[in-house]
Amino acid sequence: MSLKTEQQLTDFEELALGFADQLFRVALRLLRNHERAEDLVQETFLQAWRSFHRFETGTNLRAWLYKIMFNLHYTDLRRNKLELVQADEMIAATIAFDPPTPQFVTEEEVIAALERVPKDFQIPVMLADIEELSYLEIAEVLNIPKGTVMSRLHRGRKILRMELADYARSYGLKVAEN
Amino acid sequence: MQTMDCRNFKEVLDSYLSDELAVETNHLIIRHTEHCADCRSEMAARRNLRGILRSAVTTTTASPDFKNRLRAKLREEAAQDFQSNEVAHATRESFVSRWWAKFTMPQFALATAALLLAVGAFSLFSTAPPALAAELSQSLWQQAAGDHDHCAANWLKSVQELDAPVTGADDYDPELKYLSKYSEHKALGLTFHSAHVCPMDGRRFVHFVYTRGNDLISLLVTERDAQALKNGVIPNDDGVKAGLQQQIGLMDKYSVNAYQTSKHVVLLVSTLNDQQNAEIAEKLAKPISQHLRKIESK
Repeated sequence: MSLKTEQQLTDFEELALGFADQLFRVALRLLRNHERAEDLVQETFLQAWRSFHRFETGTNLRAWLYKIMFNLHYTDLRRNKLELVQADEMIAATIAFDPPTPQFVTEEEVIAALERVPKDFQIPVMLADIEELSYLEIAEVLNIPKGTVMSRLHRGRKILRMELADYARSYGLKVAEN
Repeated sequence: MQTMDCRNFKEVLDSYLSDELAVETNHLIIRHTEHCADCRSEMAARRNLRGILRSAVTTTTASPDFKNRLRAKLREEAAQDFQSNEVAHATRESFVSRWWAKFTMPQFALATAALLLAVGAFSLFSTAPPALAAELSQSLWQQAAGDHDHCAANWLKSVQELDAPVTGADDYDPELKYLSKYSEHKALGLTFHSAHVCPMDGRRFVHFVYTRGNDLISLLVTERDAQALKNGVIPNDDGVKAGLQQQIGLMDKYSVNAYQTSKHVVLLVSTLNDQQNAEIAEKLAKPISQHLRKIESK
């Protein structure tokens, strides 16, 4: 057991707790449940505090927190014997054509489209395009090779654009019908 | 000269926006947009999409209530660590560390405040030799002002619960006579917000946070150890009564008043003027230091 000092607690509170919103957002995407997302974030911070002495100053604290969170999440999944929903690589692979990105989209449309991206692709997109983690950081956080991160991002972003293009098209159709 | 076609451009465009490409590839991207209007507009659309995605998702935040619970839980966990530290070091049990665990949970906050006052009420009839009013160290004054500035000011800013008075004060046994003390706070126009333990520059304070109008008031209780005193030595208790001591203009804005007992120092820090601060210190810090004296003399 390591001895903790009050200075460490102060440091931890100052440095780490500021990321609560970001972690919560990702947890919410992951679990789709407010309460469970809060539990996961809380457990992440407690776990982080327990191993804070192992954290090296100067390295990316945010990525470290995400890594703890995903580790906890995947451990939980295994414990509950829930099968990880395998990303439907088949579907993703069949997206041969890449429509132009719609120029005008609303926040609601973007959220709805994001919801429709399979989780294994959605989470990397979220970490890269919203939380702005580097590809390498995402690889470490999700414990997958960087190449896998890149292919998931590629497909995830593509699916997102496809969904948005669908919205734009159906909207266009509605306008045309009227 | 190497060039890039539209298909390639679209393949790597997102990585370009994420700043994940090699410098040479960045150049190819830029050169391509210079002569391809379609790809230029695709780049603008994807950049725009990312902006909307970010602003749509980042409106979701964790609730202030959850953040408070998280902080409390963390401090509870830390308190256990600190207690184990003390066992590991086989040091004497510190008043503050014993209080640490209790103060980390909101529901314990009032109970502890009540206890602090109640124990004093029980020991009203004991006679205690009061402590010597030794000169306090400059670092203690600074730490008290620093804790107020760092913890109370920031804490209130972050929770923004100034309008949420603590409830449940009447749940405790009125026979313990602490309620009169509580109403005394009210008579002074104070609103009680929080009681917890704060670490500040290696010192621990039991920290009570109050407001009055726009003024923020901290009542702090800490150990009267060698570092708390100017000459670095804890004097023998010779029965001389420790009166009110004052430092003004700390951090250019705070007045601090203090009372001492043989084992503790009770400080009051605020943005009030010197006279008002002293007045509230008389009403808040003095009875608490008197109670402490009685507890300590047992």
